[in-house]
Amino acid sequence: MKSTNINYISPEKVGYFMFFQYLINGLSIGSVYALIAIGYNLVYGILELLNFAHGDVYAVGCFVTFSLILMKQNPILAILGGMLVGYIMNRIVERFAYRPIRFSGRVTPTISAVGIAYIMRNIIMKIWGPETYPFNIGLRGSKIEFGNFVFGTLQIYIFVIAISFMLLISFLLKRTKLGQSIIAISQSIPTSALVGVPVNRTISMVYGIGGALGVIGGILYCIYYQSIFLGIGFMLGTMKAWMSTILGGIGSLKGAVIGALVLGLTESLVGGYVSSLYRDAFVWGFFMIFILIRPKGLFPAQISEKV
Amino acid sequence: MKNNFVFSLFILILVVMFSVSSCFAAEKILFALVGPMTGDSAAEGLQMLEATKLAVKEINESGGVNGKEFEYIVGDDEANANQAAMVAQKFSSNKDILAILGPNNSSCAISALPTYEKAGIPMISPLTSNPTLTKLGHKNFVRIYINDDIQAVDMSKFCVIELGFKNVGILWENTDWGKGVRDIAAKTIPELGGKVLGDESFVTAVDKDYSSVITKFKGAGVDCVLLVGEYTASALFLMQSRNLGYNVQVVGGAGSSHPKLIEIAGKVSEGFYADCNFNPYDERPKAAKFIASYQAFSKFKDSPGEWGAYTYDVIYLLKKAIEMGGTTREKLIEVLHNPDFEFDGVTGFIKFDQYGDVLGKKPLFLKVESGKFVNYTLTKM
Repeated sequence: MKSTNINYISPEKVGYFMFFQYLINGLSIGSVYALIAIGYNLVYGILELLNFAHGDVYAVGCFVTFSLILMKQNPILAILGGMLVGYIMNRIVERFAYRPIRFSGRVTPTISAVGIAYIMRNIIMKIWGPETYPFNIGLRGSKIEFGNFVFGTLQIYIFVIAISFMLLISFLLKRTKLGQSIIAISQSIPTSALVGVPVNRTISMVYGIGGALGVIGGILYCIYYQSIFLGIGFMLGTMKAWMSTILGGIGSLKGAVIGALVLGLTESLVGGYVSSLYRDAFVWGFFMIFILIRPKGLFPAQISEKV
Repeated sequence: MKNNFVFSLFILILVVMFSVSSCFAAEKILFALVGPMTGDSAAEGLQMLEATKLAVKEINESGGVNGKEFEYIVGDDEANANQAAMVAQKFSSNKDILAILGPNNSSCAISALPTYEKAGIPMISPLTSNPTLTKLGHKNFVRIYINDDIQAVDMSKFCVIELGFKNVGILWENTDWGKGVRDIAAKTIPELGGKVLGDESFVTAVDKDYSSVITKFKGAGVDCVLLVGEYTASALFLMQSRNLGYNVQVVGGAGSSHPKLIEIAGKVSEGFYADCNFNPYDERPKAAKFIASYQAFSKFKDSPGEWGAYTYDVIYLLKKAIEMGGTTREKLIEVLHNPDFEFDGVTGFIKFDQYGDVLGKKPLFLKVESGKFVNYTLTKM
């Protein structure tokens, strides 16, 4: 019995079909990574402050959105609510877990961040639970089929949203007072304080914005996969965003987006052509080789040297 | 002077408390329930726990075991073999545990058994199906669940003979269970006249994106996917394959027969089949009574599946074994391995072979129809 609802592909065309479908899949998941990488990069790249807990904190915001949707709230309000929670939580975390140890070297803030990450994960487990839950926001997008290729309008939206945010944040950095303050702080904190930049408030806001962006990224991931689970924090936010940032070049927003797309494509192509089981091992392998060859990443940002 | 006195009083109170509490401990029989209480298979572990609560309550309220009450502690292995080994370390050092009931996942059993065997604790498994478990030579292991030598063959027959799909793709979770079923299916499907056109694996709880696998299977011409995975993986695969325009028939392994799959996947779960080892609509008197009690008792208000039914049986089986003389760990192992030991439970009649496998049971199949799992009557198998 042949399945009546599958388009069988002629043998000659199979190779092309598979390659292009891998490409489309890779760009889609890459766009989700890109959005989260922008939020991560804002803090890590520009302030050179590690945020090991980036993922887990914004995951709380995503779950808040999830609850609001379950309570039948308007999807847009639910997303904004989640973003607000992400923003506030990141600011609180910065104030109490990072600011006191800001000048204590690299190790102490990292440990602090790992601690926060675990706390957030346990909060999610306690309030919502450890499983995978269905995530239905009412925005599904439709399918576009070119012959045998399929992709969804949702994937196009995510890609467009990622690029839009990249441009928005770039604009914010170059043209607004807030943006200039952020760049000043990334060059030298004492000097910025001397010239009147409100350092603590600005850093706090950057963390907040990073958190809010992370929430959007996480929610788009959930909409795309129609499910939510507590791993969208660490797995997606901390690990993938960090890899995208390193690939693309620390400090460069454009780099973060391109690094994310490259990561998505690598995952998709390796998963398809090499092995789906050992995909992560190969991806990490390529990543390590890439770092050895080009440690600064694809588009290293031109940050002036600290005098 | 005063500090010394307070300190000594404190020590005295502690000593009294300990001796008193061990007095109490002697009045109860302690066992450990091990299963995935958190993680992607949590719904199964929690069902095991609910069934445990029900069985223990029933037994304790009707006089206990040899006059003593059952008591239990819970170990969460997260369906992860490393975690199971850690739980085994913890429980092995507890001298009061009589037996381990569980786990749910074959990998967890395999990684934990050596530790339990060294401590001499018997493990009565309600739910692990990997064939090698009984061939590893562990004297302390018995199980009441159907072995994959039978389940995997039946799953292969279901795809090729019952549903008639000749081009099968196997997607298996990277655990002992997944690999075990895949090995048997990869051998059996060609024997039945089918072809294995796809063979991919995934890491549970980590790999959530199946788009590469879907593309590969679609390109290879797979028309039926045998998904050796639990309900979360199957639900995600169903959703993602439909999003990519691949409406392939999916047949899931026993872990996919949990109703949570329909909750996660929604409408696209229609037409999904799963292998199953307990009929949630079983009308035999013992089974029906259990189903009704469980539904009334459980806070989840759903029909018990195999996780509840087999765990319930394992506890009553433990009770029977203790009453037949298995009051210590060594005696319990002896009783369980006695070829005359038998038990009639809600999952059917249980008797073990020389390896600790249960005899004479066969799996059934469920289908998702109108948003619920219903019995599927085999016509060609």
